[in-house]
Amino acid sequence: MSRFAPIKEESKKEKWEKSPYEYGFSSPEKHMFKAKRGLNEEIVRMISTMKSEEEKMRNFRLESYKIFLEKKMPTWGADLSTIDFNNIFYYVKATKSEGKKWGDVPKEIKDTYDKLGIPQAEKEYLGGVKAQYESEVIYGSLLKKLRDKGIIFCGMDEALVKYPDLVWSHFGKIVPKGDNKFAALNSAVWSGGSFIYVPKGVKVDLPLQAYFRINTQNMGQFERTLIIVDEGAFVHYVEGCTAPIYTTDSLHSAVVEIWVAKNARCRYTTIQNWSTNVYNLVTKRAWVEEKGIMEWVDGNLGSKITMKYPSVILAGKGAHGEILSVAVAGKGQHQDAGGKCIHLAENTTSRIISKSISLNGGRSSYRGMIQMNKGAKNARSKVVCDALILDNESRSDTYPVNKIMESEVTLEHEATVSKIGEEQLFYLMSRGFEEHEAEAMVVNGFIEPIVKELPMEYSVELNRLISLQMEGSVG
Amino acid sequence: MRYFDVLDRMGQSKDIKKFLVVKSGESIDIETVMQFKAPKTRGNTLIKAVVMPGGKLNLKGVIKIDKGAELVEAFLRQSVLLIGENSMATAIPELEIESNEVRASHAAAIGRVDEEQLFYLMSRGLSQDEAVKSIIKAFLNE
Repeated sequence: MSRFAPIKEESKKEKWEKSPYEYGFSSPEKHMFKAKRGLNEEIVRMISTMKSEEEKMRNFRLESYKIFLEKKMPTWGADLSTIDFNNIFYYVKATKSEGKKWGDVPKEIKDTYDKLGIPQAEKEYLGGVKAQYESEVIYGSLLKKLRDKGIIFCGMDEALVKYPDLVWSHFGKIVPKGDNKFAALNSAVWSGGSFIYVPKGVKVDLPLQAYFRINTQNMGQFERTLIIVDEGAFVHYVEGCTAPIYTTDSLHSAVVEIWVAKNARCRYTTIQNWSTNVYNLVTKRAWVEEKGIMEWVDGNLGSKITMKYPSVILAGKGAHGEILSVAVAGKGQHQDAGGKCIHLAENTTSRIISKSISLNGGRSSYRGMIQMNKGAKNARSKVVCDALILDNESRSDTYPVNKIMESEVTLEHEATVSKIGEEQLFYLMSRGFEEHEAEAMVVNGFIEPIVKELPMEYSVELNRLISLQMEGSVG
Repeated sequence: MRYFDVLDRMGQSKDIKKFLVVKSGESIDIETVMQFKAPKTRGNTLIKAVVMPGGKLNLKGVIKIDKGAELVEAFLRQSVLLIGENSMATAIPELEIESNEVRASHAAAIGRVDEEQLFYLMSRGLSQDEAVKSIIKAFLNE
């Protein structure tokens, strides 16, 4: 809130204080099956048995579990010392099977998604939907015209049964199981997530969406997503995430792998709005072949701690990578987000734009990397990080690494940290806006370059969420 | 080489400029840290480096603004010109800001000899070596 102007609508403020996070409701916990708290080899085997997996995947899980135990906790980023791996439920199954119609979905879960507005969205603008509740995908649909074109959009578990060769051709190859401690954990206990295959030359004009919801207290959600975009194809995938507010913490640790073939393009949009008791530790990486394009649009609003750096490996000549990241860190939150672009081939280009806002004692950090290997002649990259700090309790950091091993390249990196400009505020207030309204406008203008890349409903939502966050702030 | 500067007097101002050439076969590490502890301080760091073929340069630059250091202006610039084959550079410009009444920014640029500039100079009768030399000179004088 502003330093000078009182908020006229007191009721608005009260509403904010009562329910700062509108997706914080929880449904009664009803499960088909819930694994015991904690993690050991038995749990890993049990998950594999529950899914009647073949030997190959079971071994993959067990090897990954060993790597997870060996790897040390990362200490270079956010403070993860408070995660208690033994206090988490690693597998919770809420329904018997995946529903193909909303009618098949149990009532409590349906109510949850109704409140989140998913069925409505599906009717209006989506090409396909996946809904994951706890550990399993509980609902899935894909428009008939997209099915007819040969597009596959299904749960990861289903894909492993139906299209094992396609899945294994890239599964665990872009993000290897030993990549980092949390990728190893995901590889050991993964459940759910989406599998998408877009055949050669097919362009999917409507976005495909997945919606992830955690309901159980101390739940760990470990979805695994693999997207394969074949030559000349295009797909836009959108994911949203929410969870109830509990006093104890939950863990979300996903792995997303994307293969972009020659001349193909993939856009992956995330609006992460977990409740502020969720640790969000995600590994996302795309491999891009010749003249392919990969775009990550990454919005981090929720969670207690987020560590997420969507990466693009530009492996083919002329490949392009783009990362747009917006982070809002409020009270008690640490958003450690950013992006990585690795240039391996000639004429590859990349761009990272990061915007972060810290308020009410929150901390946002940009952590990124640009690497240009020997042989990446004529590679070009530009990184722009802008940060706003709205009050004295908050903190903003920028930790970029630019590693250049080829001389015939161009790299630019810029970062700025500032508060809201007095002049901008003065101008808007002279036009009759109250200070807190003017502040919200400046902030919305600040993130505009990223918001305009979002699907319409999401950009409206993002602006609204940020205004809501700011209403409670002390300037 | 490590340069550590603390600005702890109100109104203090500091300018740091470093120009260097990393010769073939050399590997140089430079770290600059500027910490702002007092209000109304101002700091400006500029690093310009030319890395010759086979040279290696690691640059790290940190701007730290502590809580309570209000009305601070901080800027860090790292510019690197890579010459020829096998020259390498790493630039890590960092910001750690815990105060909001500030303006802090950094910029890092790693680039090569501009083809057009080279072409122009050579069309004026300079040999390639001479042309590259004058481009390096101009870069350092900018």
